[in-house]
Amino acid sequence: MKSEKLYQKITKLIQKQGFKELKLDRVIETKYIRDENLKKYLFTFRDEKANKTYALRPDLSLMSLIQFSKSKNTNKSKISYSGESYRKNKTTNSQIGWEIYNSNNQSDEYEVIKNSIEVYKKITKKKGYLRIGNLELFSSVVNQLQLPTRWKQRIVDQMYDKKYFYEILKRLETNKDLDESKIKIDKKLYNKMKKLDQDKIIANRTVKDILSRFETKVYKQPRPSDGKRSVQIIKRFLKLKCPIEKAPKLLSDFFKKNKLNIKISNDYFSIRKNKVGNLRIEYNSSEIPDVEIYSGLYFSISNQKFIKIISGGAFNKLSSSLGLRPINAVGAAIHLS
Amino acid sequence: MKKEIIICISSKGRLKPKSLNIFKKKKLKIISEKGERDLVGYVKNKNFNIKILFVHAREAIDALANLTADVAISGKDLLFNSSTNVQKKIKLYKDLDFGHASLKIFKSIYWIDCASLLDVSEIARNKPLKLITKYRLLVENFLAEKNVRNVEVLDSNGATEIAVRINQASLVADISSTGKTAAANDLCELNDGLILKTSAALMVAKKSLKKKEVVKLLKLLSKS
Repeated sequence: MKSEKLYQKITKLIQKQGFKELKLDRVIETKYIRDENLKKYLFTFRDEKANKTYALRPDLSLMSLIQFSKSKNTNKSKISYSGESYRKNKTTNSQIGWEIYNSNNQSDEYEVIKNSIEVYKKITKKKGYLRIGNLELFSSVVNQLQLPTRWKQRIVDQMYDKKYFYEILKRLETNKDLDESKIKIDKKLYNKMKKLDQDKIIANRTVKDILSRFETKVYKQPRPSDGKRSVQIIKRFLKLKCPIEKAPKLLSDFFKKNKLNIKISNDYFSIRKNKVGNLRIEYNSSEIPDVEIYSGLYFSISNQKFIKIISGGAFNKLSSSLGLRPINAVGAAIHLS
Repeated sequence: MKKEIIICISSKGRLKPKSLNIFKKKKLKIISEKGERDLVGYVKNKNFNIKILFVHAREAIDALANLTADVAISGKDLLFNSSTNVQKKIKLYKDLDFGHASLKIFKSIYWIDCASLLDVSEIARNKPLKLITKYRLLVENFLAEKNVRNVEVLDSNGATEIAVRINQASLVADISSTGKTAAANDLCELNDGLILKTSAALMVAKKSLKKKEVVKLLKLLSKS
């Protein structure tokens, strides 16, 4: 009963801020779910006639983006949604979200964050933390490192899975990516395969493709010293945190010290106050989501016990990656379990 | 009259003779009315009234879940690959010291540029890959845990190893004890492609643990 009242309070607040409700479908075609962490927990069923697999919606934000993309609306639109999402690891999961589609500037990010703060205030008067990170900053740091492109891509791709991410860093740091004894054998096979028809298909790949990737992999390895240095920079970067006001300076100093050609202006972050109401606002480089939805801004609001209550950010690349029309978007959601 | 206990044992393969050996050691003589090819056997003595069903190791798990059987000797891999609904109805009573094997991911030996799951992820980035297996659940969970994307899992019903040679799939996940079958089909394992180490195990339907006779038999069979 208490949560029902809260639910209505939040919905009312969001609509008052001009976010129009979008009714969402309950099922989603599984081809739109790319995130492996989400895939694990789907309730799926198959339509043999249509040769399609569907799932009960595991996340409302994703649903709203897909539904919005089907409209031809190219104007800036403030959308809200609410309802249950279904995952095997959560019994009930009510979600309320507020999003700005076709967003084009920092003021939209600010509006979403401001709205999130207002929602937090409706829930509790207690102290809390608003942590802001930026995934593009992380990618920029990695792109500036003295590493082959293949390694840069690996690091950025795996940042959502902390355990595996640190395993990769360890491989890079200790230069243990290639097994020299196996490479010796493979080099012999490489010479043999060079004599084959280069268009021949082996396990669905051409010989040409296999050999060209082998050459890149074996002959374009990071130097051990570069590997170590890169890992040190990444680890140091992920430890950066400070009140949001000081973040541009902290980051600029870090980039300068590590000879990274990244410029950051004083107004880089859309919010610059260190405190709003009972919320302390801080920058934290390790504020990285565990789902691959966001690009750029990512933030979360947690209570005194560091339990995340609201999370959100920018997801400008998501619609294109799903094969939908490109939509710049920023939004946030609260999970009422 | 003793209550009948139904036990499922693998009808063929490496698990069968070793499972039968356990009965022999415990002096539980199995009688088959129609000889060696009979798929039903009996043990009748003053302590037990046992009916033995010789079935596929996979079916033994299903039999426990739907209470067609009380006890089974089957592979742990098959238990872990079954749905949560099935798994929660079965208790893994004791690991047995035979049927040791590993569930691993294999690739073509000619994929010299691919040694690890990271390589798989990178190759799949440009073009989604297909992996064929009889162990969909275990493989999907493993790939998700290792953050490997763009790999579609296909179900295999027959000789899985050949799928790569005929370009039906790019990768294979299968049970292997010596790796000889894989090698004979031009396959080798990925460095970090070990999904599960498995062996035979004594399993029991949780509801059957309420039967005194079943508990007594489990104690006897699990004594080394």
